[in-house]
Amino acid sequence: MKSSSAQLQLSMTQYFGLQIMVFGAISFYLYPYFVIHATGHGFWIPILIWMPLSLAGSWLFSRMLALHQGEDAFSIVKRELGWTGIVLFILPLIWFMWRSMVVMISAHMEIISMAILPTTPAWVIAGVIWIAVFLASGGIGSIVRTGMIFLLVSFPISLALTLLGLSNVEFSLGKPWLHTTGDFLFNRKFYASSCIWTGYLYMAASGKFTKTPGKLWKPYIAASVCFFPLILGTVYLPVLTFGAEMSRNLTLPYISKMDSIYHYWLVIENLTAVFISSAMLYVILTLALLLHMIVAALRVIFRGWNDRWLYVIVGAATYASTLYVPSWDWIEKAVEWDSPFHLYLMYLFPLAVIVKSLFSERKKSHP
Amino acid sequence: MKTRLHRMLLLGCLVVLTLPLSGCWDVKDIDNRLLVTILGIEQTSDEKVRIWVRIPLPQSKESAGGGQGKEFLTINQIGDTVVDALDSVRMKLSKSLDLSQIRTIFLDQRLARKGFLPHLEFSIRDRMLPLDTLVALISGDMEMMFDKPYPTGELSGINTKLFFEPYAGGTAQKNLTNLWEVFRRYFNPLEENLVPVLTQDPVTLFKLQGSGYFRGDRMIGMLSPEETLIYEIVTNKMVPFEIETAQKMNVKILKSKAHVHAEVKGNKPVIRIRAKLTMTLMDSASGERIDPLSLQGSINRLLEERATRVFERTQKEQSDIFQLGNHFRSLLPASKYDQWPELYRSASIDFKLESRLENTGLQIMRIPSINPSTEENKR
Repeated sequence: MKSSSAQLQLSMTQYFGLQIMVFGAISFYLYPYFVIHATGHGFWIPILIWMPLSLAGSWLFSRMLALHQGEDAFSIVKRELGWTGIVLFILPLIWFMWRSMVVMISAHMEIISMAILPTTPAWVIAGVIWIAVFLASGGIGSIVRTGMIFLLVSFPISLALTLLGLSNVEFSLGKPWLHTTGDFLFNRKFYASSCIWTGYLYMAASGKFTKTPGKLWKPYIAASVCFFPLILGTVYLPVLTFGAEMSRNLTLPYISKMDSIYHYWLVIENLTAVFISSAMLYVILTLALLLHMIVAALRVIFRGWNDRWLYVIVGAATYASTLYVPSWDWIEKAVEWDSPFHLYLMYLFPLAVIVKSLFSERKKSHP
Repeated sequence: MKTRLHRMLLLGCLVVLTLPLSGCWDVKDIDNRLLVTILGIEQTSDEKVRIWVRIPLPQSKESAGGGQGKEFLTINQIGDTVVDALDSVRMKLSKSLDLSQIRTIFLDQRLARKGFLPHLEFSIRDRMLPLDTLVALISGDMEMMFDKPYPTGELSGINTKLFFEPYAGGTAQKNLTNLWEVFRRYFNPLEENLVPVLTQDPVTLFKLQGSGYFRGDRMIGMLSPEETLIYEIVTNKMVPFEIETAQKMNVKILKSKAHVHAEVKGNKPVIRIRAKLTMTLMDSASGERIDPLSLQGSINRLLEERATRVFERTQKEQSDIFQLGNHFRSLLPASKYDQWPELYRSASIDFKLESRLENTGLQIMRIPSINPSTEENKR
């Protein structure tokens, strides 16, 4: 399988599409749980805080990619920081991406098994990784083209489901709207909720396919703004329907919200199944993007290795790991444990590379 | 040749890979399942629970589906818990018992008075039942409701659902309550449950008796169907098919909109409710001359007096079925939410109704010349 990515140039619209897919894959399941548990009221405040922070992070990241146009983040790190950079940033990034894949597959495995396929064994559902391996091995071209088609199917469905979710909402349950004690700042779940704002890190490998990597923050901002109503919906639809108190007692508040929607005129009775099926498209695409990125990172370290085998090895390692995930509780905890880790990668990683590059340039101009 | 073989092999692999794509495994086909549509839970004398399940049996004219020519199968079973009783039912069946299509849960009123949580908790924990299942309390024995055929036909097992749904037999007084609403009001300290109560009827099998109001998971009292109307008005859940009588006239309430204003004065909740009703005249008994202002005044007085009675009763029993506590979410600190039942008791509630007769319908003009002989005969 030859990579179709040679000489490929991606447009900003395609980057925008990829970012939407990434948001779709990571926003609907654990995120509402983290936000609802992070604070007692004014949920939009912890949601909104991370948005500008991640926009700043994406700007830093695109500045880093702009240091050497046509190279991915891993090559840039190696060029600027050498083996220190590999140990400090690339290895943690590989670890983070691999953990993200394990958490993503396990979460979806659990949800599918809970909602639509209760008798299907976990090892069959986890096999979704092989679809992503197949897709990723076609290169970034295949991922992007597939992503655009998936986007056309799943995004309108997500939008329609959010609009349908507006039934049975009572706005008084969202009060107080403006009051906050800042309690979430002392809650680990608030920091764990930043996991959905790491999408720009997923472009570490694909960022090299544009002539203007310095502008990559723009599609990220556009995707964040477009997806923001859906992100608000993941938290507020359950809260305004069930109340914050009951939502806190639900493992998957958004799935339960989908379960509760009933309209006489609605032909589809099981909206949860529709939602999960459309969300699977987001997940498959994001997994492919992550696999592509891990393989790109490994290639920097193990230069001579065959791409095809790297995809199979990473896919097999991820598949095996997901089967060892002990419980849903572990998945929730895993994202919490990873939060200092992804915050480090969101900000310190691009910042360190940019600072190092500035120092190098200054040294060159003032030897 | 080698490339062609390689391609064929790849194509073969892809075709094989499409087989498990549906993800189906250990499938239980629809004809191997028994779909429960109503679940009844009642108390036995020895502190155990008896469950009732009603399963429609699909059949066509050409081939009898099953049973003894009946359209449904009813099973009852005693157990320590609902789940235990359901397991015992499974021991008796040749097909798989499927609870995912349950449309209604009938809960014994005696159990509700002791607390519904131990008997309904299973439903939400294991996603065993749909969250939009309707919940109703049953006063008296459940046997007849499960054992006898519905006089209007089985209707694929949704007869009980249709009884409540606004698109079918539902009216404002029937107060449709979903399973998720029952749990929401249980978990939320700022509101309480109001669940419809049904009782036996020799012809229609069951009829509405009223609505049971709760404190926590225990039923503590009952409102009449007329009193339930106040709940519908205050919570803006009015279905536009209610008939109210005043001055011997029947009116239909078309629209209802209530605004709740909440504030805290000196540690005491002060609640002002302003409701607007739009009505139309349905029947002016004995053809009396209609004075819209007077009729509106009568309706206002009638409903306000009724509302005062309902507020007094629920306040005395600290059961905020009107969800008024939710309006205090921004006025009370979260630490005080648990004290809401006591605060509700001491709350000052001012309910004012403003009704408007939109039209008086087509009127029969009583002109003597139309039928003088009848008029003369009357004299």
